[in-house]
Amino acid sequence: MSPLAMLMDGFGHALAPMNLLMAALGVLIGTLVGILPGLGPTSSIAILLPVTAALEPTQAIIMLAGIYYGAMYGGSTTAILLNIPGEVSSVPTCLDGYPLAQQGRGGPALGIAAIASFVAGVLGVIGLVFFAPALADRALRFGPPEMLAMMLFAFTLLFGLSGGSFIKALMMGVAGVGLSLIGLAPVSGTFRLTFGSPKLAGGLDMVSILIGLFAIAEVLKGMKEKKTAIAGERIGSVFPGKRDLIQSAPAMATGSVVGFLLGLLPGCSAAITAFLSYDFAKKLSRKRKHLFGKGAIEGVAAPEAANNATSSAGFIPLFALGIPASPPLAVLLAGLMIYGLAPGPLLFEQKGSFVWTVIASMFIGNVLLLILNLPLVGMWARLTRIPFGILAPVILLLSLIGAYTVRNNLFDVQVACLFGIVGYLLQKYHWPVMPFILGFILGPLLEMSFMQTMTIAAGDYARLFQRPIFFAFLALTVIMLALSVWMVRRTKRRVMEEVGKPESLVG
Amino acid sequence: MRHGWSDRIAGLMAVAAGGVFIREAWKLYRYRTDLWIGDHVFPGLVGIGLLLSGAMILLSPADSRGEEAPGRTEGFRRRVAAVPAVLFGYTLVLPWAGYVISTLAAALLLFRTIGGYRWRTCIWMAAVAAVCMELLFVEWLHTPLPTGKILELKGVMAR
Repeated sequence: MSPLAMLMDGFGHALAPMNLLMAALGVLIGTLVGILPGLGPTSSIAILLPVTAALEPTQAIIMLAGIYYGAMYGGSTTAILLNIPGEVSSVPTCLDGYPLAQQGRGGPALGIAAIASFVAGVLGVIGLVFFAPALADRALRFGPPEMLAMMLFAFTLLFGLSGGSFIKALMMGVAGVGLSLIGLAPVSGTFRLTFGSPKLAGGLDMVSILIGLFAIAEVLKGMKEKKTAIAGERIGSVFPGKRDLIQSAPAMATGSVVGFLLGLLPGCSAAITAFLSYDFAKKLSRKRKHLFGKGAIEGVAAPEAANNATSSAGFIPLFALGIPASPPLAVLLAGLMIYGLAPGPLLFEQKGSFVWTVIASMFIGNVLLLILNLPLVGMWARLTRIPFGILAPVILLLSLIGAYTVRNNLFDVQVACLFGIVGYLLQKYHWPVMPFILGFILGPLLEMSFMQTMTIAAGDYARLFQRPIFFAFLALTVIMLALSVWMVRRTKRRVMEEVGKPESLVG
Repeated sequence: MRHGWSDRIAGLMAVAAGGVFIREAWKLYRYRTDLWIGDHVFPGLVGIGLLLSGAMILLSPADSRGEEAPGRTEGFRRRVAAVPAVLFGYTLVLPWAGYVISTLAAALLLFRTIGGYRWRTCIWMAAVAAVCMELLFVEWLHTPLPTGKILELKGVMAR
């Protein structure tokens, strides 16, 4: 069956009333949580992950994908109305979105953000339909050495996601791999790093760690930043005029293309593509260049399109290779794993119906996002005024009970609390969290591939370099590392120019 | 200026953790199939990685941008420290007092600590939050939350 035929089949399943309901609920809940000041898409998914536990896998993942899209859109709402970027990738949206809101044009800015997100999201999912199965098909021919080289390649993400300090990123990545080793050892079957504690015998639960690092840490960080609602009273009509649409169209198109193509590269976060697209749109718009930073509608369209296109492109390595390219996708990967679905080359082969239903639901999710959110913008704007003092305790309780529900284990809740403190300290002292997550997720797979590769090599390691894909991945790793260094440096310089202080490029 | 004390502490912790991993690798070495095949390999590699990166952090040049800006009050620090304390306390009380009582108490303390609302306001907000959690997790998701040893004991005694 061709990808299109399978996609049509997926639509058949995704349009089932319950699946449709889950997509709609996911989009609404995602927007609701994403809109809350200080909560980005990553923490939104981490908080809501356990809530989907009662659903069957397809419905749960559809809902999670909806939450992801909704939270992404919610993030841009706070960026435009409150000048609070949930993530660094929303900083360029603030640059023109907030001035527009101050001019009473918050509505059209939100409308353009929604339309740009929709256009880029749909283009990204179309790319996913064609790229992911082809990539997965290639990856099916990989042996353990190729998988090992591919994972080392994925680890070049460490630099891209580190915000610059490679040593810190390396340490965090290694620490993540180290913690993933706790529990039953794969070769001898003995307990490893449990220090005689039965609580550690089953290893550390990924969801608890994610809840701690993203949800609890985010609340503690929010207390420091004293997040308060400052939404404007008047946002205007959310339906942009013909002029706004014409002015934004080129920015939307370039943002989508730049975001999608660069999003395919590991280490190229949404922050990088959003800034690149913003600058690109500014260069393209010769006549309105002077308006950038003061309320140019293209300044909202370009980064929003790039942001969403990069997020959609990230699904390609996630589904085809099992490699998350961004923090929200790492949390989504954890969600897939909870339901016993291991993303990777075999996912398309073994769970084809599931994957295509989820991909189809992404199209539907994007449409629902546009249909549901545009009329509800006024309500979302009002929600941003909920005081942090009310939100934070609710988020914390939701997080703790959520951590408990995964394995019905109080130890997991304590792990979430501990990692909440760790996450807060990491953010406070500018230590990158994402390499840790990546190391924790990929650690067991890396160890397995390494063991199998060493067994195949049987002491003759030079033989491995005669395998072209193995060699190609190692060469790509070096190239990507150099490219990441350049792109991160550039983005850091731009963040410094716009924000005035250094910011981590990931949440 | 030398790099911040936070980086130094992290570097030292990494070196110490590296030592723990290497010790574990040494313990598992006897179960090996080969020098590079066995459960000892990754703990060993992680140990070496942590030792080296920790040492590099300790020896690297200055970077103090992560240091806390002055001006945070003692009260604020106490509030931030109180939140994890309430959360850990919640995990300790939960098996004894049960979900309802402990969630109500934790919510009350969190609203008071984070929001700084009056006790009376905190009580009704905590009650609403606990009821909403009950509806979501117990009624909708059917999560078996702890009922509490105190209540269980009371039930046994009543019988």
